[in-house]
This record gives sequence, structure tokens and C-alpha cells, in this order.
Amino acid sequence: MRNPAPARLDAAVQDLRDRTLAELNGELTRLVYLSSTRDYNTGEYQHAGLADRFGPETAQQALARCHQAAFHGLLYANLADMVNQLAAYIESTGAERDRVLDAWRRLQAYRVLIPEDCDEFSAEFFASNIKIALEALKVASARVPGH
Amino acid sequence: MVSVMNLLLIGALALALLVLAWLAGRRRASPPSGDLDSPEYSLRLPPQGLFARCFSAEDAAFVADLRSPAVSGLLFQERRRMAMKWLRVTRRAAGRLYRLHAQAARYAADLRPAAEAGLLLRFGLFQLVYGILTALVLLYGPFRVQALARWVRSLAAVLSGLGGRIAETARPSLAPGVGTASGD
Repeated sequence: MRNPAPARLDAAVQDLRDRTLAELNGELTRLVYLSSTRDYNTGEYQHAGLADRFGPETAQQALARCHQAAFHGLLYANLADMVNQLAAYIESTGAERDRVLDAWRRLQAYRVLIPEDCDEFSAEFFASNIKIALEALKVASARVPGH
Repeated sequence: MVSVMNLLLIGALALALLVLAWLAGRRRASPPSGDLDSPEYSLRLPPQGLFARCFSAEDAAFVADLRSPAVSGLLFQERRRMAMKWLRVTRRAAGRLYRLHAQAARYAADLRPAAEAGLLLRFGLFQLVYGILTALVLLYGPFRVQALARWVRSLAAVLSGLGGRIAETARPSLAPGVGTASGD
């Protein structure tokens, strides 16, 4: 894959942030969105609008860069913040909180959020943090009526 | 006279065996590829910042507020597991590089004894710090003693630094390949 010019890549990243990511509430929601643009068979990102504007290679790298940045932000987030992000994400799906929590625990869906070039330790630390956050949110939800 | 001859014969045989064993060892242990840009020469330590996160007092306080023994237990267990893993991965990375260097040094024509001694000393120190940190994490767990946590973080910085220096000494032109995984 050819490397796009840095200025063009920066413009694509900014465009992605302004037009798409800014609409999403919370870093975890953005991370889920960005990882969902990745084809699990090839590992390539797909974003028709961005590819139309900047070309497929630039779009690919812009998505990869934003994915890494979102992941990195959450990797170093404290547990309270992670729990809030998780709550905001579940809220944004409109699904029942307990059902989402159970599905995430059983299926470990959060593992698909890890970017390709992530080192093994960071990937495991992230998964471990999500696991704790899921339990913490479940306990917190049980104490708040209405959830 | 016969016994002297026997002794000489046994001595010669022993010497021949030793030489043969040394030659066989040389043949078996082929020198490293010599390609210094090869990934086997790079040292990728896990991010030091994540080791510090294993001891986060903020996270411990947040979970304590939930008053759930199950969540507290999970946090304690997970953070201890991750701290131990960080130590293991760091030691494995530094140990691998040191072994590669030792193997390469056997074939080096321009061996510098002072640099080799320095590297050996650093590797010894690395092992010592690793041992202390492992014992602390195993004995006290990540949150029990907060004052200790600061000391543990400092030791982790020493460990990471030593790992980096081992890499630099083991392979002077390694610089671009040395570092922690993205994050630090």
C-alpha cells in the first residue's frame, strides 16, 4: 500500500472527526464505530464517503489512525471513566442495559475493538479493564432503580 | 611406566573429547543472521504506563465505593495478573536480547571486555529488580500498601530503563528498534 501524503492524511483524519466521529457520544462509542468499519476477513477499513473524497488508501489509513487514537485514549482511562463510557455506549444503542452487559460478558465482543497493530500486553490490559468495568456497571445498575 | 602411559592416554582422550564437544557446539549454535534490522534484534517492552495503572489508587477507591466484594476481588485478581504478566513479558524481552547478544559475542572479532562487563552487570541488576518486583506483587498484591506502590512504580521505571540500556549495549545500532509498545 502506498503512503498518502501527510497533509492529505491529516485532512482525511480531520474530515472523519468532524463529519462522523463528532456525532458519536463518548470515546467507547467512537471505538465501536471505528472497529465496525473494519472487514474482519481482510482487516481493511471500509468507509465509502471518506474513500470518495480522499481515495481508498488515504481513507484506510485515516480510519486506522483514528481507531488507534480512540483505543489508546480508552486504554489509559481510569475505571470510573471506563464505566461511564460503557454506560453511555449502551445508552446510545437503545438496548436494555442488562442484556448488553450479559452479551458482552458472554461473547467478549469487546475483543474486536482492539486495533491490528496493538501489542499483546496492551490488548490484554484493555480486555481486562473492560471485564472489570462490565462487572462494576452491573453492580451499579442493580442499585439504581429503573435499570 | 604403564600407569603413566594410561594417564597420558586418558588425558589425551579427554582433551580430544572436549575439543570435539566444543566444535560440535560451535556447529550447532550457528551465529545470528547478522541482519541488525531483523525483528529478532528489536526490544519491544510493554508500556510502562500500564504497569503503573495496575496499582492505580483511583481505581481501587472507585471499586471500594461500590461496596461489592465480587468486583473488588475481580479488580485485585486482574490487576495482579496483569502486573505479573508485564513483569514476565519485560523479562522475556530483555532475556531474549541478552541471549542473542551473548551468542553473537562468541563470534565477534572486536569484543570489548569493559562493555561486556557493563552489559552483564546491567542484566544482573535487571534480574535483581525483576525478582524484587515479582516478590512484592505476589506478596502484597497491587493495592495493599500504597506507599509500596510508589516504590514499585519507581522500580518498574528502573527495570524498563535497564531493559532499554541492555538493548543499546547489546546492539549499538539498535536504537530505532528499541522502545516500549506505543504508549510510553
